[in-house]
Amino acid sequence: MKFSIRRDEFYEALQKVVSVIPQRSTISMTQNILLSAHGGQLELMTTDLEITMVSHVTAEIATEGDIAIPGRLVHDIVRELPNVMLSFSADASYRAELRSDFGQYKIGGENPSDFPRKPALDSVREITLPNEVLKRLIDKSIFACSHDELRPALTGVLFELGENSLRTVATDGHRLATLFYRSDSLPREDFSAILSTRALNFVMRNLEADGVTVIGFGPSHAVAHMGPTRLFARLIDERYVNYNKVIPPETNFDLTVDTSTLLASVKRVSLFSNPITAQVLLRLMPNRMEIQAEDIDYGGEAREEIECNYEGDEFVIGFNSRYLQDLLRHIDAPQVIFHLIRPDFAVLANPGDQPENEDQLMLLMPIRLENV
Amino acid sequence: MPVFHIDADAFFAAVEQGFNPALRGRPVVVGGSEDQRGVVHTASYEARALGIRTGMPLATAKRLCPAAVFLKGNYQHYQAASRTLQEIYLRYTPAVEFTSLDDAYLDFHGCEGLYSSWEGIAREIQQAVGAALGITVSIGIAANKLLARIASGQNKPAGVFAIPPGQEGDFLRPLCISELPGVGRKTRALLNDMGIERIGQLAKMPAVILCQLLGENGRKIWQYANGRDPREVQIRILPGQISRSTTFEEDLTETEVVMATFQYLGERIAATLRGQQQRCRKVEISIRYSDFSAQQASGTLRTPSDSAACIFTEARKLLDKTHLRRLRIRHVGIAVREIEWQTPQLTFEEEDRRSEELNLAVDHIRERFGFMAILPADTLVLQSRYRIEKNGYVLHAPALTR
Repeated sequence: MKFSIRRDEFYEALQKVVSVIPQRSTISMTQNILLSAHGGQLELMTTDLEITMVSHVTAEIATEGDIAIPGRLVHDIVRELPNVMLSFSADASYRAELRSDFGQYKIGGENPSDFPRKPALDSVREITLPNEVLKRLIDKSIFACSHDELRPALTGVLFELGENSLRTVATDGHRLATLFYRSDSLPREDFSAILSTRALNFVMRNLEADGVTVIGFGPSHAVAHMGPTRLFARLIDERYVNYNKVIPPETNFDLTVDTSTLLASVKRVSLFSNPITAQVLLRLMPNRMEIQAEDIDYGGEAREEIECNYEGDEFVIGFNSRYLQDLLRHIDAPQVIFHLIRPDFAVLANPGDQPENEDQLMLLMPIRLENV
Repeated sequence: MPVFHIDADAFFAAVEQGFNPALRGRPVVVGGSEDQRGVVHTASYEARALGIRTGMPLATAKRLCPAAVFLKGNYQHYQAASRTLQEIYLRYTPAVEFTSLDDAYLDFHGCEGLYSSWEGIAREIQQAVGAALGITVSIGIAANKLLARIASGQNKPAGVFAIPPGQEGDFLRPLCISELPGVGRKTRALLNDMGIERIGQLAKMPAVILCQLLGENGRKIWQYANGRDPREVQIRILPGQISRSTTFEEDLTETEVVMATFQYLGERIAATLRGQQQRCRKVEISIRYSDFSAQQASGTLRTPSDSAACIFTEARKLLDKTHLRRLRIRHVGIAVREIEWQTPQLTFEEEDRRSEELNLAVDHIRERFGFMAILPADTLVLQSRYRIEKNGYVLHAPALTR
């Protein structure tokens, strides 16, 4: 195997795949990058067995062939080189050599046939999404995922295809975030799959600002085609919770408030809350609300009042301020609308206005309050 | 010198003597009545003088001192006494850490300006405890928890022992290595084989050698040997585990009794967890057979729980999975691990909220009418085997009946 390539192009392709290489692994082969030089194209592949990343780059290929070589080492040496022509060659016993104007670097490689196979994807359902939409679909849900490995389904984001629509859902049992997106370009079929947060974070990192991404869902894996890069991710093979059950069909009171004003206020007040419970209280009164927090252990206390649009009953509701801040941060609209039932019931939140083909909804469970 | 370690002297026995003046001055053994199987839990100083020790079979104790008063003990009394201790300690400093009912650390950091003499305060605490409960406590005063703990053991009973700052090394050097926490029987034997008997010898060794010998524990022991202890006095601490177990009056084979006992123990654990506003994630069951062989199994709950139903369901699952030996069962126990604080954060799950409301109602009933006022029906089979008191079945090792 022999090819030559400009450093910048090689480095760009390496950067895309190198972060998939696991820090520790019981399978030492996963520490490698699989390089395949065929038909004028160099393919780079890494895997941690959950996620497989493949990128392509054009190269001048003298002899076709494949090799598995230590991924971080190749990445690091190429990173330190200036933009010169590099020539790479490997012999039959997988000893590789990288040559530049500066000198040569010998790297011990391994038999490429021992490298884990690319996941087979048959009977794939494909959807095409504008990058900007895909980014929103992930971003508006992923923050609500659970970290509890004992409930694997909740550690991922549910992708639910419906009639010309796609919904992403994430929940950790305390809060739920979902974005519904409608488009005629989406297929008319019912289908759902759970993608891990790790895979989606890789997708987010590799998405270009514009353009489209094709996502294919197979029986056990999904694949995202992002320009010259493809990401294969194992699906979380679990049943997702029936999230519709927790969304209350009717609510009693609506409250509209300026998103950034409330977020800034909650940020300030929560500095005075007990660091363990992170509890902030919202006291709702006609057309104004009071945000307060106190830390009995250390004697800190804070109180702020802001205007809002509210005609319902007066009551006090408590939240974990971190959850409340997460929620507000994911509202792009200048105004947020809360739909409330009771101080111990889930609260719904929507952006004040949103694109016609989107429906963003968040649910947050309050904190139990005693004798307020 | 801002850390006190206060240890009550022969706590359970002393509380009994405090409640009942007729017992004062007599050898008292708490652990069970003399004809029961079981071991001495606490012996009063009068009984200790006759050679009775904690952990000794009751029958042996009886032989050593036929005149001793054998008591089954009452956990509620001890708990109440412990609360009184806590109230007294809190008058002096807000940082009080109880490591057991009778054993507490008091942190006086930042209180230096308030008190003129640490020994004076210690004497004052001893008097207050004596007046309130009629028991004596031993107090160790030192720079950290480790030294305070060793100091409190120096002058028992009713002693006050202070290690002046700067003299920690001199104090520790001649002591036997088994005084250090983390040096148990095995470690001691290992070190003795190398000719190390005194803490001073241990302190002089390079830390690396102890690390190689004993792993992480070695580093800790070396630190302790040099009088260093990074642990802080913690006001609220999570227990590593909560366990309840019982030895049957007679070894038995009936599955429904074993099951009912597990369920009853699960109820007790859950009540404790809720009382401490904690919940657990892991459940472990243990079974000991008539030939003293034992089996254990543990499992993880889907979500952290403080509900007896959850704990028992897991225990039953574990029991079903365990291949029980065809022997009589002598002893059963449940332990819960990975304990964390309850959070007031509500969840979406309806089941959680229903069980939470149920538990709340159960706790209210028990608060008014005692623990036995409401129990799962399956535990009723225990009625024919154990005497019922308002606050629980009188199980075999009654001093430990929590």
